Amino acid sequence: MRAARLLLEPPNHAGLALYRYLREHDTSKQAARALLDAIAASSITKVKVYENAFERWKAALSGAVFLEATARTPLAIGLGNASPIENGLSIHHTYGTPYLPGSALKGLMARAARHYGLDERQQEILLGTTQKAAHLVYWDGWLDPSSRQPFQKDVITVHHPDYYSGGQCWPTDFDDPNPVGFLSVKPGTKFCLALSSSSENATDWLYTAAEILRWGLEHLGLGGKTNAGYGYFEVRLPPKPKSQAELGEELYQGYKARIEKIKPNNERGELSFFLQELRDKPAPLRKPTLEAIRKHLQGWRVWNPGRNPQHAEIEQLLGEHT
Amino acid sequence: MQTKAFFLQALTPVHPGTGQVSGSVIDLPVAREAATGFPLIPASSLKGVLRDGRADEAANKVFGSLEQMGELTLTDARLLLLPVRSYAGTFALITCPLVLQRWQRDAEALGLSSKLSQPSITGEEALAGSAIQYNNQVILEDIDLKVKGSSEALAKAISGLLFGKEEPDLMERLALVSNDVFSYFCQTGLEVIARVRLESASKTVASGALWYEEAIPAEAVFSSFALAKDAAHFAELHRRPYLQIGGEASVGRGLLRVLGGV
Repeated sequence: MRAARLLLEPPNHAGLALYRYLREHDTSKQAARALLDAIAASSITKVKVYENAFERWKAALSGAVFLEATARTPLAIGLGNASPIENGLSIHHTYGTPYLPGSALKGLMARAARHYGLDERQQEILLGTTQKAAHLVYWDGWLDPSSRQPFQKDVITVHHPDYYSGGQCWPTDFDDPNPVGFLSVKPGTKFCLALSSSSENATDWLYTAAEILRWGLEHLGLGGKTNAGYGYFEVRLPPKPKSQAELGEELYQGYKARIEKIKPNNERGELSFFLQELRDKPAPLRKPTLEAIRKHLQGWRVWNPGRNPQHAEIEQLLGEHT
Repeated sequence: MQTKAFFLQALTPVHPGTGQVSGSVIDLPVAREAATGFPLIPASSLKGVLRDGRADEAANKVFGSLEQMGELTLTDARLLLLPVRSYAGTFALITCPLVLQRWQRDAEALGLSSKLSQPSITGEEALAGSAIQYNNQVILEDIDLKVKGSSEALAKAISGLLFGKEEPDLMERLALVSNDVFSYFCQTGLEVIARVRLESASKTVASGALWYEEAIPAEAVFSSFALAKDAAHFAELHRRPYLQIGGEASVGRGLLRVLGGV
């Protein structure tokens, strides 16, 4: 770093500040503390460009399932990233916001999946294997622009440095504690996570994955120091849209009474009503109702698709599904 | 022959891999041009993604089959704008005279009428937008550049090519830097992501399972050209407004937006 730069306040970009604007390595760590204070006090989300990028990213992922994850406890993810103050943090390269790496979410998903007891095929679809790519994409979790000031100065204090570094001497009350400052994400910070798939009809899988990931974020924790209570979230899932089969069942429940009233003398009129209603509906949607009609007519012993063109059409509409 | 210029804007970091392990600190580097070292997305990656696995007659005609060559030709998507962390304005979008000259030369060779102005800049100076200036300087990572003038005219031209209008985020962040500075950031200013694999039982890093990946950061813009016998084939470029290109797709890399309709 150039000498002239030492006189500048740290920049708004937290990543740049953390990696390039430490003034000196003094023994009392004053400079590191001042830098962390400055980053914790900075508000990154006033920047319009990030809000635009966030909206653009969400718009690009139409069809994705979005989870809203709010940190219940501090979050320390990417502690091992290279940094002049020894402890790093996952900070978005371009925007300087904290983010949840997609690779970390996928790793958490793999752990949570074991708790859920998924079989091999399910794991292959959700997570992939070394032979086969996953069908799902675990996008980086973006900071929700409503979370202002997401950073906080954190400290970890090593009370018995000699004991930990060599193990040659026993820890005592006379050891010098060594406080180490680092940057973490404040509790209450909100992230937006997205899961998507390029395969068609993957909605059920996406919701299954979202449910498992939620469990992982709430119970296993993400990032470092989870045993010290870091990295636990409260997650909100979007309500799952009803599947075609469920909608078909609802449709049938609405018609149930009417189907039971079909008698030989009103059969033709009723069947033409139902055929008109159902003919253009998607196959899974019309299936329960048509099956009920067939069963009802079979009960009357009048089912004869060979002779009756209406019966034949019902048979054909049901057949298309299988 | 019909020709068309189009652009790709990265919404998430992009990793067009080389398929090779490098000898440097970075285990998985991104693809680069051999002569300049500028990152790029190979045309073959782009073509594969646009084809999207289709093998019907229409797709074979456009993209080719074993029997017949495809009628759509794509060029490598070269880096046009690189985002670099900036002291003021969070990040700057930088480009350089060489990049602009090459685009202009290729566009002229293909008979396109669009023009990009060709301002010159050398040494440690820059033409810069308003948001990234601090005390008449542009401070990028570890490099301080003196502001020689405004980048407004150039930003207007590039913004017009990309968006068909003046996009404020680009207008205020564009910086024209010298070829050397651009090259420096192409080598050292890309995003480096540390990855680990944990042992599930102990939650410690598995032995040897720490690696560094390079990625072209979000907000980068690439330029490419398409050539075809029939202009109708260009519809393939815009069949989907967003593409996912390159490696590490399942952890969210490589989401790109297709821009431009020259």
